[in-house]
Amino acid sequence: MLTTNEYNQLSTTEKNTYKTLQSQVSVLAGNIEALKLKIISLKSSLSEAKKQKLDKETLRNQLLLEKDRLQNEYNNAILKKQTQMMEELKLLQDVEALKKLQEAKLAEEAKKLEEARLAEEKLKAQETMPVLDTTPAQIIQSSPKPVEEKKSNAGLILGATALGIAAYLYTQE
Amino acid sequence: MKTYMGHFGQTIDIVDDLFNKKTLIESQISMLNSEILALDIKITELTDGISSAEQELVKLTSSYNTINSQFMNLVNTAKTRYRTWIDGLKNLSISSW
Repeated sequence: MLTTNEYNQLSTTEKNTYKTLQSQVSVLAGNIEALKLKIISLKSSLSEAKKQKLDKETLRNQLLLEKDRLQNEYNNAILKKQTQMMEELKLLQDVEALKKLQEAKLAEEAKKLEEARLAEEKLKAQETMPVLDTTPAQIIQSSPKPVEEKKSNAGLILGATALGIAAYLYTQE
Repeated sequence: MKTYMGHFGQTIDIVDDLFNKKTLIESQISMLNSEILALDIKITELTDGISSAEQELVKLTSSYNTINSQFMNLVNTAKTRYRTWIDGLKNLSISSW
C-alpha cells in the first residue's frame, strides 16, 4: 500500500490504474475467500452425504441378511406345511379306508344277522305247524279236488234234470 | 417365532406372518435403494460442484496473482519514485547548505 506522499508521486493515469488494480485485487480476494468457504461447505455436505450413504448401505445389508433369513424360514415353513398337509391327507385317507372297512364289516354282520333271523323264523314256523298222522302227500291225495266236486255237482244236476224229464214224459203219456 | 403345534391353522398363520415380515423388509430395502440412489446423485452433484469450484478458485487465484503483481509493481514504482524524490530533495538541501 502507498502512503499519501507516495501516492501523490503518481501521475493521474497511474493513480487511476492504482485505484482500479486495488479495487480488482480487493474484489478478487473477496471472491477467492467466498469460493474457499463454498468449497469447504460443499466438502462438508459431500462428507455428510457419503456418511449417510454408508449408513444406509449398512442398514440395507443388514436387511438383506434378515430377508435371506426370513426367506429360508419361510421356505422351511412352507415345506413343513406341505408335509403336514400330506400327513393330514394320509390320515384322512386312512380314516376313509377304515370307515369303508368298518362299513363292509357292519354290512357283513347285518347280513349274517338277517340270515340268522330268517333261519330262526323258519324254524319257529315249522315248530308251530299242527302235527298230522298222515304225510303231506297223503293230505294232498285225501283232500277233495275242486274239479271233482264240480263234476259231482254236475252229476247231481244232470240226475235231477233227467228225473225231471222222465216225470214230464210220464205225465204226458 | 411361533412354535409349530402341528395344527393346520397355526402353520398357515406362521407362513403368513413370515411372508408379511419378508414383504415389509423387501419394501424397506426398496426404499433404502431409492434413498441410496438419491444420495449417489447428490454425491455426484457435490463432487462435480467441488471440482468446478476448485477450477474456478484456480482461475481466480491466477487472476488475483496477475493483478496483484501489476498492483505491487505500481506500488513499488511509486515507492521508488518517492524515495528518489526525497533523496533528491536531501541532496539539494545539503548542496545549498
